[in-house]
Parts: sequence; C-alpha cells; structure tokens
Amino acid sequence: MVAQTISFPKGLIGFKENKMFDLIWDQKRAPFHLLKAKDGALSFIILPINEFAPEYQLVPTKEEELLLSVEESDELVYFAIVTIPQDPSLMSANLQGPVLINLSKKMGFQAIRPDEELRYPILEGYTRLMQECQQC
Amino acid sequence: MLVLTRKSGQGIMIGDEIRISIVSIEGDRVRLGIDAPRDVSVHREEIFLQIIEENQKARLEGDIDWEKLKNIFSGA
Repeated sequence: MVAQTISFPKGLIGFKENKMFDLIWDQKRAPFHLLKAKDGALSFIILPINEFAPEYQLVPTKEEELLLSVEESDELVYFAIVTIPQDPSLMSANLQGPVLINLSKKMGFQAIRPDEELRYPILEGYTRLMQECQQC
Repeated sequence: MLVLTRKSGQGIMIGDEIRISIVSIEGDRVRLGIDAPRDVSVHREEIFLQIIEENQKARLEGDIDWEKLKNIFSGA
C-alpha cells in the first residue's frame, strides 16, 4: 500500500472544510485509488481518467496551474470521483468535476468542466477501450 | 442578502476587481457580463450544485467489497 498526503487548498466542491487528504493506492484495489480526508470520515473512490476514458483530453487552465504550483517537469494526474450506485455495474465517473493532482507538489484541486459528463458510464468506456486495444 | 436594482448597461462592483454588468434584459432573461481576475472561476450556479450533489452521492458509506468492484471492472 502506498499513501501520500495531498493538500487541497480549496477542499473538494461542497466539502471545503477538508483540506488534507491521503491518496491511497493498494494492489488489492487497483486501478481504483482511495482519497481519504485526514481530519474526518470523508472518503472517495477515485480512478485515473486515462484508465477508462483516454480520449478525454484534459489540459489545466492557467489558474489551475497557479493554484497547484505546476512546473514543467511536474507529474500531473487527472482523477475522476467514482459514484457507485446499488448496482455497482452502473458505476459512473464525474468528468464534470475532475480532480487534478500535482503529484510532484502533493497538491490537488477539483476542477470544473461544464461541458463534460457528470455521470460518465465507466464500464462502457472501459469495454470500448479494451476492444480498441485488441484491434491495435 | 444585498438587493440592488440595476438597468440595462449598468453594473455592480464586487471588491475592486470583479464587475458584473447587465448586458440586456428580455422578458425573464437577463444577460450578464462578468469581468473578473483570471484566478477567479466563474460558473453557472447549477453546475456547482450538481457537482456538490454528485460528490455527496460518491462519498463512501460503510465498507467496500473491493474484490467485487475489481471483478466488475476487469470483467467489463
């Protein structure tokens, strides 16, 4: 298990009081990651967006780069928060509020992309990705 | 809440850097112009509200069956 503490200066949208989270990766949960608040019982499942929607091109805005102190050599990862309904096969990813993490600076931010899907069907995207890979 | 009456073409200042102006009024639709520094993000309120709602839905409650979740994902 690998855990690193990520600071979210603005918190997550609607959860402004939680500024520090552990980003937890564990083989037994791969490719899912856990984002767990240091100071409360708040946690989310997150998934690197390129694991299921590589066509989704995300570029940080200037403001986001400033907020996350992005420098050229920094490692940036876009995650989506995963919502798991009663039927887990209908799990969806929030691409409208992607979570951008600057791994090099250990800083994160929930961005807003108004034109993207709020509930992107993860399994459909993943299936399509696998089919495309078999062809290539 | 502060309530102000403005006519088309007029504006309000929030602090000394954010200006909101009334561009036009047609029936029940008001077009607003917003001038704000680049580090201030401006979005429609409903986008915010639906992301808050989705975050609340996504918040984990109780234990997760990771094995099951992984199987669903890799078996897709």
